[in-house]
Parts: sequence; structure tokens; C-alpha cells
Amino acid sequence: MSLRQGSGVCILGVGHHLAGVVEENEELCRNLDVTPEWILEKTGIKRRYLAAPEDTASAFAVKAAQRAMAGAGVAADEIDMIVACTFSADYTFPPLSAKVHKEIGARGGQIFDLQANCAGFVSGLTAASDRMTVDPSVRNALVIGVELNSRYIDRTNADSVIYHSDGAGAVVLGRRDGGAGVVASAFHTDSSNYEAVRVRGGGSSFPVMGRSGPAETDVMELNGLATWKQAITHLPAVVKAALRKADAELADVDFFVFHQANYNLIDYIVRKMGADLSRTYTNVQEIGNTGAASVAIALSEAVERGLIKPGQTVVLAAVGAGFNFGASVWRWVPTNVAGEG
Amino acid sequence: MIDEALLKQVIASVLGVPVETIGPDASSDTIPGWDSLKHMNLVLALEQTFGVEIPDEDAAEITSYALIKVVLQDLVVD
Repeated sequence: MSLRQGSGVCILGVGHHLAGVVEENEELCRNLDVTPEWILEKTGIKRRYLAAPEDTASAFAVKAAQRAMAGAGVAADEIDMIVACTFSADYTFPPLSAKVHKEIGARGGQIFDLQANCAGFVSGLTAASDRMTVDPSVRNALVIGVELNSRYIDRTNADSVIYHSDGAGAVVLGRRDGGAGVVASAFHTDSSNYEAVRVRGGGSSFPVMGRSGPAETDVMELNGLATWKQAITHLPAVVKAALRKADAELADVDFFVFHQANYNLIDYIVRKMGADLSRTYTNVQEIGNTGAASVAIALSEAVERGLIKPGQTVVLAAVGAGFNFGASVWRWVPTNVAGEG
Repeated sequence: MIDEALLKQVIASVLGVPVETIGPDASSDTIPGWDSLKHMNLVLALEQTFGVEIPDEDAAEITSYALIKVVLQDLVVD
């Protein structure tokens, strides 16, 4: 088989922003009954980045977006669509994407937030690139993954606290000739473990107004075993499904960027697919799991390090609560990053 | 037919337990330390040793000696 031509909708610029407070395993473990060594062995994670009290998700998103726009050489008045992928927006509504639109000085166009948890960025990229494919009036799209996980995490609950960080990643989509860009996407949902990873508080079943729900509804609850089973069962399958749509095989993939939840899981997934870690980039060891921002930040760092080259076939893949899975296949074009933060 | 002695040896080696502890009733419920991390290593070791590709839908489910044997017997070509 030979990889199909891309749609012409390409990632032209990437950027990211990490929270400013760094928490090492040693510090975290002072309030937990697990050790730094145990966290490292089970997850590969050494430290997390946490938002300061005055930080906002929209400010993180804007910083990542502005870097992606600078890298792409695309101005705010050339952005016709903004998709913000997050569960931790500043407000329940209006959408965080509207705040980004205001802060970067965009005019008109379409905005929406997309909530698919850690698979959100892959879903958002597909939503935006599909819109651009069918509507030539959309010149460029900004797709952002942002999460302030720490605002929803009980820091004495090892099930969730050992993993999660705060940050944002963004890309600018634009058009290029020559068969580049997104080739295919595939998605899958297995809702049999709907309750396995959740934050109930703030939803309409546990409203903030007249709070009557138990305290645990306010924090992230995470069933690690259920998540692991879902990931190893469905993530390789959704990657293979996307490749089939692209008329490609695993051997054709030059580089993978996965959701950064657990180093051991990524190691397993790439080896199970017949590859090895040289064909992917991981940063979960250094920054933890940033939810919907994770693929975007990893992609931004991989581009920054020169690990992804024009002409290569790149697969982005993620698993999110629900559980939902997404993967997309891209023919890469020259992509710039304007620096990290 | 799969080589059961070899199968027990692989499971014991990956889980870090004596091979004698891998009997017909061995499972993640009976062997301390058979956690998700070791299980992923076990799936990859089984694939490498027996030259098979364990289907993704089976990979998380084969958490006992009996289930591993059933899945491998279907995959191994005599």
C-alpha cells in the first residue's frame, strides 16, 4: 500500500506553555503513602507543573496560541476558526475559545470548545481540519489543548495526583499544496467504563448552586486499572484503523505522538505495534499528564527538537475519559515553533 | 500444542516468581506483583517467545495461566 495524498490542510506552527510551579516526586510524596521510586517505576513520571492561584486556563491557551501563530507566521486577523479542547475552561460558559478569540484579537469566524478529555486535541484537530477541507473560506484554524488539572485534584489522592500537570499546547492549521497535511482520522468509543475517570462536580447532576453533593464529587476520580485496560485494548486498534483509511501500514509511520499518560503504557503501545521508542517522543517523565494539552505539548516539543521532518508520515493518537479514542495520520510539512514557555 | 513448560518459564521470569508457583490456577489474583506494568511486559514476552501477535482485545484480559494458554493455543501454528 502507499499512503494516500493529504488534504492540503497542514499544521504550520506549534507552541506550548507549561505552568510555572514545578513539583518533584519527593515533594509530592510528603503527603502520600507512596514513594518517589514507586511513582517512577509505575508511571515514569518525575515531576509535575502546577498552575499558580492567579493562573487561568485561557491565559495558558493564549500563550501557546501566540507561539503557534508566530511560528506559522499567521496573524490574528487570518484566523477564521478557534477550537479549544479542555474540560477545565475558565468558566462553565462562555467557551474558553471565545476568551482566546478576544485576547489574541481575532475578528469574526467560528469558535467552540470541545470536551473529549485527553483525546480532545486529536478530536479538535480533526474537527477543524475537516471544516477547512469542506469550506475554503476558513483560511486558518487555531486548535488548542489546555488543562488546569490541578484545580480538580485532591493532592492527597495518589490515584490521580501522581499523574497530572497543567499546561497548554496549540497548533495553527493552514493550507499547502503537494499532497501534504491530514490524510485520515479514526475514532472509537467504548462507554462501558463511563464512570471510571470523572469529575462530577459542576455538572448539572452535581451543580455548584446550592451545593449538596459529597466532597468527592468536586475532585477527579480515576480508576487506573480500567483506564489501562481500555488504553491497551483500543489505542493500538484506533491507530491501525486510521492507517487503513490512509492506505498505510504501521511500517510506513515515521513518527508517533501519543497522549502522555504513562511512560510504561507508551513503551508498551509502540512495541506492541512493532515499533520502538525511537519512533516516538515522550515527555510524560518530565511534565506528567496534561490532559487535552498533552498531545499538543508533546508535538510542540518534538517539532522544537527537530524530531519530525517534512515529508514524514506522522500519527497522533490519544485516549480520553468516557472512554474515547482518536488517531490521525499526517504528511508533515515544514513546521515552526516560536519557543516554549 | 504449546510448550507449557516454556510458557510457565516465561510467565515466572517476567513476574519474578519461582516457576513452581505457575500452576493451572495461577492468575493476577493469586500472584502478588502481577500488576499492569508486569502484565504489559508479559504480553510482549509471550509474543516474542511464541512468535505470535496477541490481539489487542485479548491483551488486557489474559490475566491467568488458563486464559493465556487458551489464547496462545489459538495463535500458535503447529
